[in-house]
Amino acid sequence: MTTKSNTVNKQRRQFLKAAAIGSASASLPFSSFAIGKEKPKLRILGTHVTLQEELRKKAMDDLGINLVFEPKGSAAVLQKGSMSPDSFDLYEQWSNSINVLWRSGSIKPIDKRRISYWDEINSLTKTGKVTPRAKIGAGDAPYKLLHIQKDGSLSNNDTNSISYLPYVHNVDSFGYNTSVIEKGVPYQTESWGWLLDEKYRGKVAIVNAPTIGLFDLALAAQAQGLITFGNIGSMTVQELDKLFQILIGLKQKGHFSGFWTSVPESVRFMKSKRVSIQSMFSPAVSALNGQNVPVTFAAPKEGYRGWHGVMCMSSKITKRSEDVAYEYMNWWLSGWAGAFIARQGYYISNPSRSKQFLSSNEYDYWYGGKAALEDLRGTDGKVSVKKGDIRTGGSYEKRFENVAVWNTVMPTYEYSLEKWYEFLSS
Amino acid sequence: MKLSLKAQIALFLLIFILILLGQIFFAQHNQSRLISQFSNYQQTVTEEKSVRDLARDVLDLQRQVLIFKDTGSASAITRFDNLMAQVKSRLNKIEEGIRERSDSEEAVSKIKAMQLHIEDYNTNFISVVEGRRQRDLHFSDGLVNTIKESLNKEAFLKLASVNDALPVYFYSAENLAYRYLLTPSLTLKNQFSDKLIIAQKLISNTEGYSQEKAILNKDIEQINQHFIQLTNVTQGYVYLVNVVMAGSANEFLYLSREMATQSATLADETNLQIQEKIDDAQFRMKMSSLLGIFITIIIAFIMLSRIFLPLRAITSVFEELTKGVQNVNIPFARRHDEVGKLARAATVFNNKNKQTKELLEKSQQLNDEQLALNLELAEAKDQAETANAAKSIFLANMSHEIRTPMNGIIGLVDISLQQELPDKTKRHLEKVALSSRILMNVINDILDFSKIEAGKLEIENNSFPINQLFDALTSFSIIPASDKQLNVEIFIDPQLPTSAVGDQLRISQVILNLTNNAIKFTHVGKVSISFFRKESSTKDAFTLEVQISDTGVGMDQSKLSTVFTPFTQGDNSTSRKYGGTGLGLSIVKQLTTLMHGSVTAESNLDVGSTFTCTFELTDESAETVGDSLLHIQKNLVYVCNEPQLLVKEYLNIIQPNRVDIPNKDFDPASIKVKKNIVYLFDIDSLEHANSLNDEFKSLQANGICFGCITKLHPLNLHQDFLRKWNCPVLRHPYTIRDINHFINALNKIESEEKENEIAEQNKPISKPQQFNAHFLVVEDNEINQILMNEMLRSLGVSCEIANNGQEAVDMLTSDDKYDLVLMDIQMPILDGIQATKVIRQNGITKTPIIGVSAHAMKEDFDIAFESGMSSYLTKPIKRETVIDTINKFIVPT
Repeated sequence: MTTKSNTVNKQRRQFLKAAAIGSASASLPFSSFAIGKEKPKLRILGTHVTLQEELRKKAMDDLGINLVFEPKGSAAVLQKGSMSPDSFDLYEQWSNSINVLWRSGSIKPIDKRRISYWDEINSLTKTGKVTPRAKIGAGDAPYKLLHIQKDGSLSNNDTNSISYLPYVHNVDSFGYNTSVIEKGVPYQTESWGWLLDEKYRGKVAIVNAPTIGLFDLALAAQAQGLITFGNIGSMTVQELDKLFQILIGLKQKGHFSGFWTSVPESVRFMKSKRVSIQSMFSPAVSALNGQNVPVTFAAPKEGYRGWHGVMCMSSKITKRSEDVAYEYMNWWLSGWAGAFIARQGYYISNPSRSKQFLSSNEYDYWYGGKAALEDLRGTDGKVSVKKGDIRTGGSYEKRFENVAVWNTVMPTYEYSLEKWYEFLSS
Repeated sequence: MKLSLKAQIALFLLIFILILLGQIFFAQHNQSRLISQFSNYQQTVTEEKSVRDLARDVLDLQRQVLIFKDTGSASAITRFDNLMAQVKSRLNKIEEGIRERSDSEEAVSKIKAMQLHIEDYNTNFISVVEGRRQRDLHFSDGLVNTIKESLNKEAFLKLASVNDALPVYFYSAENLAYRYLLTPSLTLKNQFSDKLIIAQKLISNTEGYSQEKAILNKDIEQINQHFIQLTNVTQGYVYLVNVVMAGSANEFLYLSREMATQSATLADETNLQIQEKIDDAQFRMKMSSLLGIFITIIIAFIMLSRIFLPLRAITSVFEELTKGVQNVNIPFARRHDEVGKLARAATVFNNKNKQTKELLEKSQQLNDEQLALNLELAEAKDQAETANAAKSIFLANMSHEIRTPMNGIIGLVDISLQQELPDKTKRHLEKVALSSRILMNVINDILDFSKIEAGKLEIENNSFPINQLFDALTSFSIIPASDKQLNVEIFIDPQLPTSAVGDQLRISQVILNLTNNAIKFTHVGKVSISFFRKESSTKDAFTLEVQISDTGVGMDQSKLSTVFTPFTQGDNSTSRKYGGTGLGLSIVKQLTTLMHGSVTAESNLDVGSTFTCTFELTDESAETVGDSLLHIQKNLVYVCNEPQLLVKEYLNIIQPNRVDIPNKDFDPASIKVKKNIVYLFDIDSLEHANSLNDEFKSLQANGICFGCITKLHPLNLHQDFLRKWNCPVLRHPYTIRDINHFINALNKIESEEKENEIAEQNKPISKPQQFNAHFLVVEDNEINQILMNEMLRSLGVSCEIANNGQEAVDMLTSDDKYDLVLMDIQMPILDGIQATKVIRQNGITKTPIIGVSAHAMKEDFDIAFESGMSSYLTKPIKRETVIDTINKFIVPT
């Protein structure tokens, strides 16, 4: 995920500066912690999705530690994470960055025996399926990257070393303004193909991130029957060429109104009626609905694009920080944090522990896919779900049974970047 | 409408001005709106162009970024920086322009977004440059260098000698790194990794060389790290360029397109609005013009119907009214403005017209009546005048008829009194003569009055010596006053001129009349007559004021008020007591009026009356009466009465150097016997004179001159004085001439005249003059024939009688033996005038013809002289007058 809350530009602007700070902090001795004068400090590099102030305060209070959050845009986080492992202790991002990070050697294996609630973590990252009938989903399905093998490769083969701690995850699709586009039936009529429907020419926006937007477009092109992929999670150069040929053709016809780089921007696009349909993340949908813009988060019949959060440990982490880092990871899975992000529409890998921090109505709505029996409030205290609302796509299981593709860094990633540039500039 | 016309017109004008102002306002409003719109249009057009330029610049920026990404060209960085500065400046300019617009919020937010994007683009490019620098660093300094160094290391050579393939992997890895640089891809990355892993494997599989292996493994690790860093930074800046910056540029271009479109749309809209505004303004102008014209027409119509037409109607109403048309229908009377006022005025006018007409008719009627009356009056007047004239003629005739016999009576009595008669008969005849004269006066008065009444009395303006007035007065007043034992005093203002122009006869008549009146009504005391000079308002003229005061019976105020009315006297008893016709004062009044003078009277019963009359005379002489007074050449002592008998006005001229001694203070002993002194004495009576005998003797003995002044009475006093003392005596009433005689006597210059006068006074009635001549008397009246015959015979003249003019003509023509002809004027057969004419025509021119007539009017004289008469006598013929006249033609014997 490129962004969830901040602009790419901002992230980029802080790229070098952040790098400098990171190296500086890495050189600081932890003597203060050692003599107990000061709370132990943990530096966390990540995105706004999880680096939220409420979580930081709660964690600091609960753990008695000092937390330094460094939220950045996806690309910046990945860049910094892969090049400067000494600038952070923990890294929070998406599963599609694992390959890069692991290969760059900037993260170190996590001992899953030190994860208190490991057993409670559901099967999504263990077997790849939340239910037996669930689709695995194309691309880098998170479970394939979890376990570190002896040869240093990553696979679903169970070991005690894991490359990341599974925690926050969700499925994304597109949102559409039902005042413009007739509301469809989830999983039946709603289709990724709508994004490329000529009816919506000039009213379509895509997230400006090849590892995300590319799959939205690929799913759309495939749904439209314009192209078929051998493996949509690992497109070939030829497939990319064909796909971008189609997309560039559409773009030149003025099909795409814009390419957003942040959630607020996507909200602006939709709210200003610049677009009627676009790639979306769930917080944007909630925000628009809260502003009385009737946006439906589609449950495409082709399945969702899934993403999974990863929490990784810096290969350069100190022993002391490592202990604190485990404490922090365990805190995340201890329930409160899962409940907190549940109210923002995200899921936690061990929902059973968070359930006790949610009302049954909340749990039934967010996880159960049931109609809200009362108005539900978001983390900001405002009503985000009105009584009677039903979460699009249904329950947690139903949604994760229908993941078409996971956000993925494909082998043709570099090439896709070139094509993406060509696409944007066409 | 209750407004006045002024207000109505003002209201219409106001509406008019408001319309005009409205039009001006609309026009200006439209113009300013148009200007503002046009400026907006220009701005948006400029903005659109700027935005399109901006898009072009951004495309250029992208090109520079691509060039840099591919070549790392420094010039691309410079170009980028220049373009970036240009773009920023353009954005700022556009923003400034947009902020001036009113509805700029959206556009400004777009510009802000664009500024953010371009700022990010710039920042990201800096990152890209840095990333590329790091890539190059990791590649050439890191990766390539490490491989080169490793390949040259002894450890490597040793191990390569055992493993032939080892260098191949190193070279392959280097080759892959180069390829990655050209086209980064995961495959190349994995292959690179694989080559190093194989190399590691080869090394680890080699036995021994533990030290060399460690060195090489470390190198391989270093090479791997360099490559990872290389791929990371490469991925990083490629991601920035291809995704982030491309996205920014894409959004920027989208925004710029939007803005350009919006600007274009706005420009089009503005253009359209301008066009609409122009159309709208034109429409409004047309509509307001039409409205203006419409309202103007309405106003014109209203003014026409409310002002001009009513005015015309009212005007024609007035015209008709002026023409006198009756029963005119007057409209608009109910209106409250000026038209209403006019209408009401017209109504009033109409009513007045009617009234006027009625009045006119009435006055016409009255006029007719008046005319009739006037006619009657004229007739009556004519009748009256005729009657009056008849009366005057009757009176004139009557007087003539009376005068003629009276002439006979007086003449014959006169002649008879010349005869030696017994005393008794003489006394009787004298009574007859007096009565005759009274009767003649009465007749004369009646004649004068009737002449004045008939307007036939004319005033003459001849030069005359003013002294004559006084002389006549003294001679005429003395006798009647003497008869009544009254004193008469005359005072003459020394300032009076010696001669003046006026009618002496009539002035004398007035004064004598008043004096006679005064004497008549005074029994005791005196009558004073004073002549004053008063200044006149006319140049070269003066007013002669004569005051006649008496100590007579006087009158009360009621009598005084009617005193000048004809036929009245003091009262009815007056006429019985004093006689008279009652015409005297009336004649005085009328004569003074005719002479531009006046007469007034003041009177107190039993005290006396004062009559004051004035006459306007022309001042002919510079010499005054005072100038003509002589001076006493010696010193003067005046023993005088109180009041003085010689008044100071005279004395101051006669001898200013004198001593006045009142009688009561006079001491006879004080008389100084000096030669150069003259004594004057006021003497009241003979006793008084006798008491001074001694003094007079003494004076006379010493040869000192002295004189006396007496009143009129005692009448013989002055004669006694003359006889006894032979001294000069001045007796009242005296004139200037009398004073001068007196002074001359005092100065011992004997005046011949005076002596003559005295002699004359003293000599007895002498025998009349005798003429040895033969006259023809032409007279139809037998008595007059006798009278004339007797009178002429007494003068030694023989005569023949002709009974009428014709006889006279015949007699003269047959034998011209007459020395003179006395010709009566009024005669039967041929009157005197005609007869004279015939006589003269017959060549008898030398024989004097003296007209004789009872007609004493001036024209009678003129006619007489015109006919050829030599002289003219009025009846009654007086002996003296006849003698004087004959003397002119015949030398007495």
